[in-house]
Amino acid sequence: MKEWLLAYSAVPAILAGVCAGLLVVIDDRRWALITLGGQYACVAWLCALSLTLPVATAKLLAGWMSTLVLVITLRRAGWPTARPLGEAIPTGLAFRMLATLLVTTAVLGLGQVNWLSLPQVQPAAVSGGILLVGLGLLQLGLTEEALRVGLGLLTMISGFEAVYSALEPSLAMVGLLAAVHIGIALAISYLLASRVREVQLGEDT
Amino acid sequence: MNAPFLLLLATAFLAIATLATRSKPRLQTVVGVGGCLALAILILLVRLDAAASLLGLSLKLGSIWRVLGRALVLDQAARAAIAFLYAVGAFLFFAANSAKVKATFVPLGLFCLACVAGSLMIRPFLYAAILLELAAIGGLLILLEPQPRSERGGLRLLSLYTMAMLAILLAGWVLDVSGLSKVTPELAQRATVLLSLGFSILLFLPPFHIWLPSAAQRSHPYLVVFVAVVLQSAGLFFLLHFLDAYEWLRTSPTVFAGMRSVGFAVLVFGGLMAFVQTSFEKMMAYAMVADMGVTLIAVGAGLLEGYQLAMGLNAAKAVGLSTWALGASSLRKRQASGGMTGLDGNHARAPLAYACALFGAFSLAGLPGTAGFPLRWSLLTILASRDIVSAIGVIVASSLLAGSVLRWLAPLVSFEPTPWLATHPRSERILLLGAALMSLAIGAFPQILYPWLVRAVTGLPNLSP
Repeated sequence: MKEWLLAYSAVPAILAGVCAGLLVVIDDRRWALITLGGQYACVAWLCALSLTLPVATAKLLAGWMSTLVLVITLRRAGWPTARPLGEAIPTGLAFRMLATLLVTTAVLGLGQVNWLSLPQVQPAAVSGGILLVGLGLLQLGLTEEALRVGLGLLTMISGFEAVYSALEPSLAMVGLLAAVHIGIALAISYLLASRVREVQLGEDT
Repeated sequence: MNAPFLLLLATAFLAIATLATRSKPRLQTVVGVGGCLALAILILLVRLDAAASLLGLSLKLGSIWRVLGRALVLDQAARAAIAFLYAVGAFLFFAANSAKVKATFVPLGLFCLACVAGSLMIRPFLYAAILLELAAIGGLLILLEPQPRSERGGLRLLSLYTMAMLAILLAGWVLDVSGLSKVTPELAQRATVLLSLGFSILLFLPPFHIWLPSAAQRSHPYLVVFVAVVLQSAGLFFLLHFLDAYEWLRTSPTVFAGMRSVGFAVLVFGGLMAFVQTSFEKMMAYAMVADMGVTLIAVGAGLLEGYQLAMGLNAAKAVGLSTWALGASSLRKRQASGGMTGLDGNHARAPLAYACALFGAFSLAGLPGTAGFPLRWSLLTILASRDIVSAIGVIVASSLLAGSVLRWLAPLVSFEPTPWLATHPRSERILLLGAALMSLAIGAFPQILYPWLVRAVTGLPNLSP
């Protein structure tokens, strides 16, 4: 199993980058959360290159739990659309697509240099991880809408984990980072739910 | 039995109890404040790793809790720092009901305190970065308010803390790989860059302070002060731990000179920005930034006295900000719009609250007679013979901050007569007066607060040989 995962390690790296790019571009919240679930599967594969399979599966489950928390909240709220925030940066579809392409190119270029001399990390994990961190940062830079910020943070941490799990494979670290994923998902859910409640109260009055 | 487990268990119990009593604000206050105070006192006084007799039973409370292959250690440094944070928590929870903050503030505040306490106890202490991230999640929830876009500051805080966590974890790995004693200059440079990024975020240094003015403008001042004091204190303790742990870091003159230069720049930036603000809350946010500049200069002195002063300055900031927050909350209640972009007319509607807010602001500026003054004076005496530029920076920035606060006294000398209508309820009057008197008392007798805070530094063996 491990050999098979190693042999096709480029697949999750590419797919993780595609998922992170789609998260920046997609407007529909349903599809965004499905993409997030797919991204977690790719990240678990990248982590499995250096961790044991049960631990990588635990990471996957923690990621899917975070996704599920967001799905349940938005489903209960009736999948509300994001309110425009009047952002200073243009955030149209074409702009986001172009920005995603630019960041992907830049990040892949930067990823060719081993800045921190990471010897024991698989090249696929480094490429996938750095793509996720770059696109997560792009997501954070483009908007201040709660769900998108949450998705950006989860993407960024996932990218970091893809690399860091090879450097620090301890169970305590895996557990604490899983707590961070679920914590962020819960906080964003609480925020979304409270805003939806206020809108509903405003409409009632 | 071990103390770290009991401390976290007790805090969790308190959080659940205060959540259950959120519909009864007075009971919630009693539980939250009583619990926090009791824990702060116990943390300081209890004897660890020594047999003690209780009701005829021999008990030994350990200082180490091992969980998932890692340890949480309640040592001397952690004890003083955690006790300080719990005492700050108790103080801020005490007036929460009067300040009319949301009912979930106390349980969420206790969650934050537990995360920060965990971050001060965990070994290897690099794991503290993750626990601080969890505390920032709590901070986001605390800052969230019904008014539109109040989440902006909290979301920025969380985003920045996530970056800090990643940078510090990576720096920790770089240092672990190279070993504690043989860091090559190249690795040291990489680790320093990552650590600088991480600590700049944890200490709210510009440009990573952006969440603070945003939160100050849109969230309740009381909530902003709690989050800022708890998280910034945790960042400072974490920095001192780092200096204590890595010899190449604490023996590098470049690192300390860099800290003093950054501190100077932050101080001047904060002072100037505070001076040009037209909103009282935003002015205080920049005053907080400037205050961290002073603290950084104290740490950058590279002396035991400097580290002790940094701890003291942190405590003085907590006192000044708490006093300001109490006054500002009281003023905020009297604003029909819910915002507080100015204080016009409030000197007449709520004179005591107005005085309390100004007194807290003066304390943060370090004016004589307030809690912030004695430590700034001590710092100036150290800097006078070592780094005259930083000393001048402290004086100039303090003057700028004092000038910023003085501008808010303008309504008192207004030519238009305003009828004085003191409308404070009795309990609020007592709280406001108490806060202002406390700030004054600590300014006049600093020895009542600072000696036990200094113990936090004596617990770091390499910083206080």
